[in-house]
Amino acid sequence: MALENIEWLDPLVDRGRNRDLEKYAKRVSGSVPPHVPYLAACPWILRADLHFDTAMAEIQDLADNIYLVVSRDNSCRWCYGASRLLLRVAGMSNAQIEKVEEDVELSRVEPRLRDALEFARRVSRSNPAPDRESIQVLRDLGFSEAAIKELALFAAVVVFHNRFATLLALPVSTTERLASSPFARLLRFFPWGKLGTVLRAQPRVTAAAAADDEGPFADLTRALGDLPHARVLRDTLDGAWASPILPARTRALIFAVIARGLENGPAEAEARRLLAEEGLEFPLVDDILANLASPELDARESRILPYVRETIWYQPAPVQRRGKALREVLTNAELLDTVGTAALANMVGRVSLALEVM
Amino acid sequence: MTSVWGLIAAALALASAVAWWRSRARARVLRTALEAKSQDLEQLQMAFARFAPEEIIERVVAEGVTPHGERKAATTLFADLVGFTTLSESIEPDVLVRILNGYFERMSRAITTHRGHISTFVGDGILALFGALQPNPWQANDAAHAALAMREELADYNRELAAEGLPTLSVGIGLHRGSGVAALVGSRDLMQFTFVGRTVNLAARVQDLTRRFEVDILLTRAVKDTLDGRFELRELPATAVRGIEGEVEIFAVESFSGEA
Repeated sequence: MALENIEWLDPLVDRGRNRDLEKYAKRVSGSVPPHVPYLAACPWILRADLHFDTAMAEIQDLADNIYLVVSRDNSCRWCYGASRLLLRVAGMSNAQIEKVEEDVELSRVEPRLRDALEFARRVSRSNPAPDRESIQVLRDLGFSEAAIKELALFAAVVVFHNRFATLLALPVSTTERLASSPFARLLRFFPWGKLGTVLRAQPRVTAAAAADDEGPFADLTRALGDLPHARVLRDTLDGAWASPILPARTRALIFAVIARGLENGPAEAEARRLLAEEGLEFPLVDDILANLASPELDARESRILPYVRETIWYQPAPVQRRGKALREVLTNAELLDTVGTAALANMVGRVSLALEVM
Repeated sequence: MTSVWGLIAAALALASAVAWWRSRARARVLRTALEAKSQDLEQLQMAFARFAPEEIIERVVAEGVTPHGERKAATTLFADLVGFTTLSESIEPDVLVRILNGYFERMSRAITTHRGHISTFVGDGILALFGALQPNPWQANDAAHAALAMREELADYNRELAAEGLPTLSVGIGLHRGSGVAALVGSRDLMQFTFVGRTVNLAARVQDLTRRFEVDILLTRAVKDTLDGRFELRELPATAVRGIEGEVEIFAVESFSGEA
């Protein structure tokens, strides 16, 4: 079923021009994707978006289905529409896509896909998070440790995409219209040129090799080993922390709130370590995390922290309305950076919960 | 002779074509009906997600109702209208139902706005849960904010009722936090997602105490211990309640000094 009936607000952020970013997007993907202007004020989000693609080392055959199912699960009209469009361009009809969804829903798919999807959904929902038993099911089916890690990481990558697209209410109408069009299949004959590479690209790795892994959440990125997306995650975390829009303290607070909400002790401990580096120590952090408020928070943080808690589990329109209210007190760039950081913290929180029980 | 066989063959071909065309048309109708039902089911599933965790709904869809419970820490809010039984005997049934539905509408809004979910309506009572559907480390604050929002909503509703010349309402609310089992329970004909255990009983008992202490919102020590310090509370004498060993420490909620 398409998600067109789900309420979706107009974009929360303004369109802007960032020629360097447009050139970068063109270099990576062969064209400038239509959502680039919405992310122009906060480049690290777009870089992550471009590099967190569907290129896998171990589970390439499962990637499209995971993207489709998790996006649908998260009611992300933007990602789900894009995912359907990709499948249409790849030659599937609407009926075939619906059949796949129906089969997944009714567990009529082969065990490898069925259990991988179940695991991916569990990572994405984290309610409850995957346990040893769910990982053993995958091992019994022959998934290697690297494949399980990649599965968890890719589900979390989809969480990242779903969150920033939904929280910003990126425009969905064109993609949805194209995906439903009877002519969508003809698009595969279009001379895409380098644009094709964005659909099936190998990630452009710019991060340090795993052995030199340092910086926020280095234990996690080290644990993910040499997976292509692990290196993109390292690069993204470093890019976020280098962003001059929000201070490092606010960013670490966002990670701490989301880790607390997900009941993820190790991620909260890492966020606390980062907060300590910024001069925020126990018991002040305890007080902030207990109530999402404190006289020690600045006016901006006092509005941001209650908002980011809403990004853990949500319905699209209500959370978009909360984001709209936040937009009234933040600049365009600050809202982008807040949403991107919340999306990244949700990704990190979920993948680390899965890895913890491996 | 040849022409007879030719006619038979033509008739058979025509009959086959008609049968094929009919079966295609029938398949098309069935497919459309199936798609419509599938969409209905999807929408039903999405609607159910407001009342039970998605995993439980999916399990029900895939396997039917199977026994499955999960131990969780949740905050329970129990609300009951004061003197409503007497009131219900003195007004017309239609008016009573209208008053009650208006009350439930407003209370539900206050609860869901603060991330609670209503487990059940029991007569004029409401059992709401915080932290039972999803982990929620801020559940005590959410429940206390919901209780204050219910107080405000009721004051607003009472102004409307008074303007219509109808009797006004007063409510008692009890809050308690503790562990219990979150599960889909009931019979084959009627199921509900709820929270079972001492926590619910104690919240109901604490709600009873609102009459004795003439306050509208009471909470226990277990809620207070994780509550935002900006809630203004008034400590009341520890009190014994039926079915609970020892005395229960209780606090009346006065107000919240900050932004909810």
